[in-house]
Amino acid sequence: MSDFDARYQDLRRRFVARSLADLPILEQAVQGLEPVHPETLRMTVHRMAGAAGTFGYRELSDLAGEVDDRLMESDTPPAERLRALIAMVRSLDEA
Amino acid sequence: MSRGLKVLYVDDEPDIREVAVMALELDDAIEVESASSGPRAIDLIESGAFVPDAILLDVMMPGMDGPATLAELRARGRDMPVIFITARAQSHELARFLELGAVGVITKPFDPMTLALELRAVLARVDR
Repeated sequence: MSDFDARYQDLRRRFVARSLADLPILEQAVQGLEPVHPETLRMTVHRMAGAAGTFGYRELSDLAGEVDDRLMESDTPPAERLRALIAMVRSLDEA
Repeated sequence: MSRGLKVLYVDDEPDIREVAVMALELDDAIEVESASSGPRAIDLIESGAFVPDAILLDVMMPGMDGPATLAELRARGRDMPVIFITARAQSHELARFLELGAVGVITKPFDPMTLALELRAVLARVDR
């Protein structure tokens, strides 16, 4: 493995860890028991959309981008798409 | 080693910054520095620590965002080409970004294997 590949794989693992750590924010937004600040949710999803594809998770990037678009239009979280996003992030742990 | 093109990559996300630097360094003729915010980028340039030939500037950053950073650089007389890095959700704002003085836009997520090529393609259009 080249030095580039080794460093890239390390960053990829960090991306997965960070996305899993962001899950409670997404889950909280769906459950609605405790409100999530719209900007916190938006930044979380926006970062995921921008980074996932760079680390090889194109489908996750597209879905997060779709949620990001929806959050640009309204502060109300799109619950069904957020649930799909949560499931996709969880699946990173199983890959 | 002497490198031909000095590029500053500005982004608040550390992992993306790191992968962008790695990606740009795949081009042997690019010398890369990075900054975690607009003010840090301006400090690097104003102090003379790193004066780039081109800047890749993330649009959405906390505090001073990409457009505000570009405006501050221009107010200080820094006229190097600036390319915005933006997520798809802002891509419809392309015309506004160009009006602000950016020479191009690269969309996130970027492909690490082609980022340097994308940058060179934008700069080649500017030189034309």
